[in-house]
Formats: sequence, structure tokens, C-alpha cells
Amino acid sequence: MDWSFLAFIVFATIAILGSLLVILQKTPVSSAFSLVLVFFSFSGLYAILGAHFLAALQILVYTGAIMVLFVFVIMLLGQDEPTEDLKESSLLFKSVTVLGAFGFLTILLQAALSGKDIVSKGIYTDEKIIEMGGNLKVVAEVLFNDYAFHFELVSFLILAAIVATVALAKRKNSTGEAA
Amino acid sequence: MSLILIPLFPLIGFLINGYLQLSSGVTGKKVSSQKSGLIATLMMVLSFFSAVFYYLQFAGQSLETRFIDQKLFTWIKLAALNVDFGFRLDTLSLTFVLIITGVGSLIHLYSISYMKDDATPAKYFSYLNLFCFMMLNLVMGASMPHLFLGWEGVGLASYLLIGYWNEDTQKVLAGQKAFIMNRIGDLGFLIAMFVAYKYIGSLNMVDIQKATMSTHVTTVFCVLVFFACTGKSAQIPLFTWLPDAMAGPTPVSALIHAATMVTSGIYLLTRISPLLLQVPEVLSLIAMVGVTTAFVAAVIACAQKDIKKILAYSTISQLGFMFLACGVGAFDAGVFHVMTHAFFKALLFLGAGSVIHALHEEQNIFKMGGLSKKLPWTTWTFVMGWAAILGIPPFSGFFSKDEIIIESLYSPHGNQVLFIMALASALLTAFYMTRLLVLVFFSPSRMDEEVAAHVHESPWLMKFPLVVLGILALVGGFWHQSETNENAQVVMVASVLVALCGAGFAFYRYRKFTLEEKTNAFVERGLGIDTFYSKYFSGGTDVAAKGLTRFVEEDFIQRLLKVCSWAVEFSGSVLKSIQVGSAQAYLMMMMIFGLALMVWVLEGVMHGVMIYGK
Amino acid sequence: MNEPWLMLIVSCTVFVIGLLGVIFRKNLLIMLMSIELMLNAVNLSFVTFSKMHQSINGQLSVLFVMAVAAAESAVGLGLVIALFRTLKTADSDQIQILRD
Repeated sequence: MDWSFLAFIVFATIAILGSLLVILQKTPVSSAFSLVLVFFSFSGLYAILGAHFLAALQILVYTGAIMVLFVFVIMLLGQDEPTEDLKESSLLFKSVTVLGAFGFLTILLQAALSGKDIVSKGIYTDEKIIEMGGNLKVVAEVLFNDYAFHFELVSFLILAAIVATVALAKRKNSTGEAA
Repeated sequence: MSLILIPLFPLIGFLINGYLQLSSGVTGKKVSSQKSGLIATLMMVLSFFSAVFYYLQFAGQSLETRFIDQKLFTWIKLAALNVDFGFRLDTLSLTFVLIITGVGSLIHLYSISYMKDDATPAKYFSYLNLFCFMMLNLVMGASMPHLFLGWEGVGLASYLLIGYWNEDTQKVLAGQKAFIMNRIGDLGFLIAMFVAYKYIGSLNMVDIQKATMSTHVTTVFCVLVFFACTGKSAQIPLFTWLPDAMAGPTPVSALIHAATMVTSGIYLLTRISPLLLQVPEVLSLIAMVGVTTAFVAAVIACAQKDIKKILAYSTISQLGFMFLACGVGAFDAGVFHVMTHAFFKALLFLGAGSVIHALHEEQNIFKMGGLSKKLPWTTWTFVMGWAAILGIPPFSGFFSKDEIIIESLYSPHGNQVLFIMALASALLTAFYMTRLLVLVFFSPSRMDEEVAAHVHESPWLMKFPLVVLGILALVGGFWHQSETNENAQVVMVASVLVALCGAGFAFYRYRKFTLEEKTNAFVERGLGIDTFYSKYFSGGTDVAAKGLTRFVEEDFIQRLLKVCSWAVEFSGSVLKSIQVGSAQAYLMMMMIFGLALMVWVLEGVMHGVMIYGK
Repeated sequence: MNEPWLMLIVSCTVFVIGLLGVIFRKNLLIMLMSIELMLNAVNLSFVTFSKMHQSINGQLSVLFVMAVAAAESAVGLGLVIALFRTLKTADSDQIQILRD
């Protein structure tokens, strides 16, 4: 019994249905909670693929930080009333887009799946990873050895984002100066 | 001494007078007729003396060596065609050159006095010199394009001079008519040049004269050249411009439309005479057209009231005689008549100019009369011209006209019909010329009183050329010796008798004339030919132009343009609707076009995979 | 699992769904959430390819993508708040001040 395959089916279904819910819900709050569901299922998918570190990180960062922020802003702005915006576009627009999206999906799948039979061997096979001490250790090693510079740059990026957000969201006086 | 001097002098005169005219236009001071006229006449006289030099030179040479070829520069140099700009002086062209420069000088002299009250005499003399330059190029040109240059040039000068008094639109239109009718004939000339080039390979006159082509080609060539000559020399069918051309100043009519330009047709026919003699049918055509024109023009002349128009139709008629001569192969006689006609017709025109001037621009012969006492010099020189044109011995006209009439009967190409028609034309000529003479000079005066009071003889500058031309009209006939034919004596007597009959009848009818004659309006207006031309040819072109404007230009082309601009606008407004301004719409479009792009790329990839995957 | 490439189907589907969300919805917050969906779908495909080709670089890319996504959503939300202060609405159709 291939449990991982069964788990995959479950998580995949939840992910797809959840994402449909995200875009089709009327209130932003419901969308946010559906998105949390999607993130959880994605985390499960990462785990099936052997990226344990990322699975944990997904929960921590996405659901723990980003979605909290989202819900916080939703409530701050009082956007918890239902909105009717799906009905506002014309039928032509909706049908063309959906059809186009289907086509897009088809082509995307074709592109993505065109290389499924390619057999290439990298270093990090499952056995090798276990031998090296597990996924987290391997990731950490590669990150801080080969990608240390990128790591520092990302911290720079986050600093910049903080400064930007604070500058944007700061309340201003009536004369336009920052409070 | 170089051949180039002959045309060079008039060219210099043209440039000097042109400069004088332009600078006087700038400064506002009028150039005097004496100054510009003297320059122009001097140039013509110098040119005449150059020609005389060559005449004396030729006189000392044997007949076969009497020619000079002088090449100036290579004019057209293509791979297949080589045309030189050069002069050829032989006995034929020398004859014409002497006429042009000699009679031309006299007319220039006359003009100094005739145009002294004109506003722009420098312009007039520059045009006259230009004309002489072009005419000299025409007769001395060694190749057909060179001749054509002169041909067109004299047409241009004729247009400029006919419409010289360009404040009057009618005069300008007359000039335009002359030019356009000439142009129609020039089409024949051009096509003849093409034919000559194709079948002979060269356009030099010498080569053309010696060429042998098939009869068909020669016929076509000769007919085309003849057509061009009918335009220039005012024969049927292209003659209606000459009466209208009388709108120009009288010396112009004398020079261009009597002595020189209109004789260029005979020059050209004589030039290609070796070819013409190979195709007797074309010769018959020429003879028939010539004699018919002579007759028809003489008929029309009998009904005219204007002194210059009578002389114009007379010119057409005499040109018909010259064409008749060419048509029966008597080219010598034709050129001889050109010479004598230049003398007496110029004389008649200048005399008419003298009369018109004396009567203050009156041209209706029914308002003249009794001028023999008041204008003696004019009268008696006019009589000498009259005698010449009638063909009364020993005046020059007798010899040349008679030779033509004799040849029309006795030449191998002649026949009795031509002879009879020629005699009939001679009869009519005698009649209308005598009518003119009597009504103007020898009948009781019908002038207005104030005009009669101011009638005076012309000044010396106008008398002198009249006298010289009168003498030439008298003695000019002895220049040329023709072979005598026994039967010729009878014809000679007959023609003189015919002329005297016509003269006598006119004399009798008009001697005591005091009224206005009621002439047949149809004949007076040129037997309706001119009306026919303007109604059907000009009118037809008008209708065609209007039709094309409406149907092609307005309906079709404008609509086409409107459709083009509409198409651009429409596509613009359609494409404009993509710019919605909504980011989401743009995202949707990006998705769809990304889809298309991926399809395109993947299709290639798929094909590649399928080809290499096997 | 033996066929990791099946994950790609999920990834593509979620991506397209996210795209549709951005195109269709007018509420700014939901648009931002759809963008997060798209980013996550891409993350999944990175990890899948990393598994398919026995490499570790895919997972590291995901790490960085996550960091960037976090930063970007923070800034995006800051923008929404700033907009809301002026326009009192989070409807993208109402943001028309710069239009002529």
C-alpha cells in the first residue's frame, strides 16, 4: 500500500478545492481561511516530496506570518462584508477568460509534463540525503556554504521591505508630515 | 571662316536684345527701337555676308564638291545611336540660308521703323533673331534631330511672335493654335525619325538620302514626313492656323509666314527627295494635296475682307504650288518658287504693313481705296509684287510659277488633272490679287475722313526694303536656268493669258467700287473647315477631358482615397478598444497571448521531440 | 512516491486558478491572496523538479521565494492601507484618480 500516494491524492484534492474556494468566496475573510487550508495542504505535499524543512517553513512563514498579517489588515480595514464583484464583469469577458485559462492550463501541463520521462541523475538521491544527515542538514549545509551571499542579500531585502511598509503605512499629520 | 558664324550672329543678337529687354524691365526705362533694331539688323547682315562668302566660294567649285560638312560636337552618344551636332552646307541649304538672311535683314530693317512706337521693341527683336537662329539651324542641320531642333524652335518663335501683343487674349490664342497644329504634324516627324533609326540605323541626312529600304518602309517614312510638312507649311489638313497667325505684327507675317518658316516643309521634302522618287504613289499624294490646297485657298481668298488674311490665304495657295512641284518630282522648281515667293510675298506683306500703318491700323480693304496718289512708293512696289505673283513676264514669279505649271503637265509624274487645277488656281490668284490691288490703291476712296486726312507715306526705313524687294521681284527670275521644252512655249503663253484674264475681270469689277461687297459668309470663314476642327477635335477633347474628370477623377480616384483613409480610421478605432485601462483586462490578454506564444513554441518543440525521439 | 511529476498537475492547476482570481476579483485583498496562490504553486513546482532531478537547488529557491513573498505581501498590504486611508475603499475599480 503506497501511503504516500494516497496522502498525495488527499492533499492534492484539498489544495485544488481550497484554491477554488479562495477565488470564489464572497468575503475576504473566508478567502483568507481557505488560503490557510491551501497552505496546509501544500505543506503536506512538500513533506511527501521529502522537503521536510520547507514543509515546516511553509507553516511558519506563510500561515503563521503572512496570513496573520492578511487577516489583521482585513479586520483593520473592515472588509469583512460580502462583496458582489464576481457578477460585475460581462459574460463575454468571463467566458473568454475561462476558456483561455483552460487552454493555458492545457499548454502549461503539456510543457511541464513533457520532461517527465527524462532520467537525469543528480547527487542528492534519497539515500544520499539520508546518509548525509537528513533534509534539514543538507539544506543548511548548501545554504550557508554555497548560497551565503544570497542569504545576506535576502536579509537586506527584508530590511528594505520593513522600511517601505513603515513609510507607507505611517499616519501623516494634516500638514502632510509624518506623525 | 566657319559655318558656325552663320547661325551664331542671330544667336548673339537674341542674347543681347534679350538682356536689354530684361534689364529695361528692371530699370523701367524703355529700350529704343532704333537701338535694339540696329543690333538685330546688324547681326542679320553679318550673317548674310557670311553666307555670301560661302556662295562665292561655291561658285568657284565644281558641282559635285559644293558642300561643306562641319561637326561641332557629339550631341547624343548612346550605344546604339550616335548623333552629331553639326552643319551641312550644300547648294540647297545655301539657297535657303541666303533667303533667310537676305530677306530677313530687309525685314529687320523695316521693323525698326514699324515698331518704333511699340512698348517693348527689344523683346520683339530678340524674338526675331531667335527665329532666324532656329531657322538657320533647321536648314543647315546635318541630322534629323538637329533639323528637328530648328523645326521646333521656329514653331516656338512663331508662337512668341504671333502672340507678341499679349494683352489681347485672341492673339495669344492664335499663337497657341499655330503651335498646337504644328505639334500635331511633329508627331509625324518623330515617328519618321523612329522609322529611320530602325531601318537605316543612322539619323544623318546624308545617310538617309542614300538609304535603300523596302517600298513599304519608304512609303511610311515619306508619308510621315509629308504629314509633318503639312503642319509646318499650312497645307490640307493642317492649314487653319495661318490665317489666324495674322494677329502678329506685319513684319512677322512677312518673315515667318511668307518667306521662311512655312517654306521649311519644302526644304524637308527636297532633302528626302531621293527617297520620295522611289515611291511614286507618295509623290502623287503630295501633288494632289498641294494642288487642292492651292485651289481651295485661292477660293477662300476671293471672299476675304482683311488685307492680311487675303495675303495669308495667298501664301497657303502658293505653298500648294510648291508642294505640287515637289509632288511631280520638280524639286528644283519648288525651291525656285520658294525663292521668288519669298521676294514677292515679303514685298506684298511689307507693303500691306505700310498701308496699315498709314491708315492707323485699318485692315479692312473696304475701308481703303485711292491710295495710289497718297502712297506712291508703296503703291508701285506693291504693283511689282502683284505682277510677280500673277506670273507676268519678266517678273520672277513668271519663271517659277510657269516652270511648276509646265512640270505639272510634262513631268513623268504629272497629269492633266493637276495641270488644269493648277491653271484654275492661277486664274483665281490673278483675280483676288487684282481685287486686292484695285480695292486698296486704284478704286475711289472709301476711307473715313479723319483717317484720310492723316495718310502719309512711310519713312525711308520702310521704303528701302520695299524697293529692294521690288527689284528682286523683278530680276530674281534670271537666277535659275531651266531646260526649255518646245511645248513649254504654248503653256507659258497660256498661263500668262489666264492670269491676264483673271486680272482683267477683277479690274473691270472693282475699278469704280464704292460700296462694301457682300461676300459669301461660308467661303469667307474658310469653307467651314476651321469650324469643323474646333467643333469636333477641340470640342471632342474638351468633352473627353470633362468626362474623365467626372468619372475617373471624382468618382473613382477620390472615392478610392476616401476608402483608404476610412480604412485607416476604422482599424484605428477598432484597435483603440484594446486600451481599456484595467490591469485585470491586460492580465487576461497576457494570459491569452502567453497561451498563443506557448502553443507556437511548443509546437516546434513537439515536432523536434517527435523527430528526434524516434 | 514513485511519480513525483504528478505534483506538477497540482502546481499548474493552482497557478491557473490563482491567475483567474487576479483577473476576476476586484477586491484588492483577494487579488493579493490570489497572487500568493500563484507564488505557492510555483514553489511546489520547484520542489517537485528538485525531487525529479535529485538536486537540492530547487528547495533553496523556494526558501528565497518565500522570503521575497513575505516581503512583497507586507509591502502590498501597506499599500492597501495607505490607499484605504485616502479612498476609503479597497475596490480596484475605484482607484481612478490618475485617469483622465
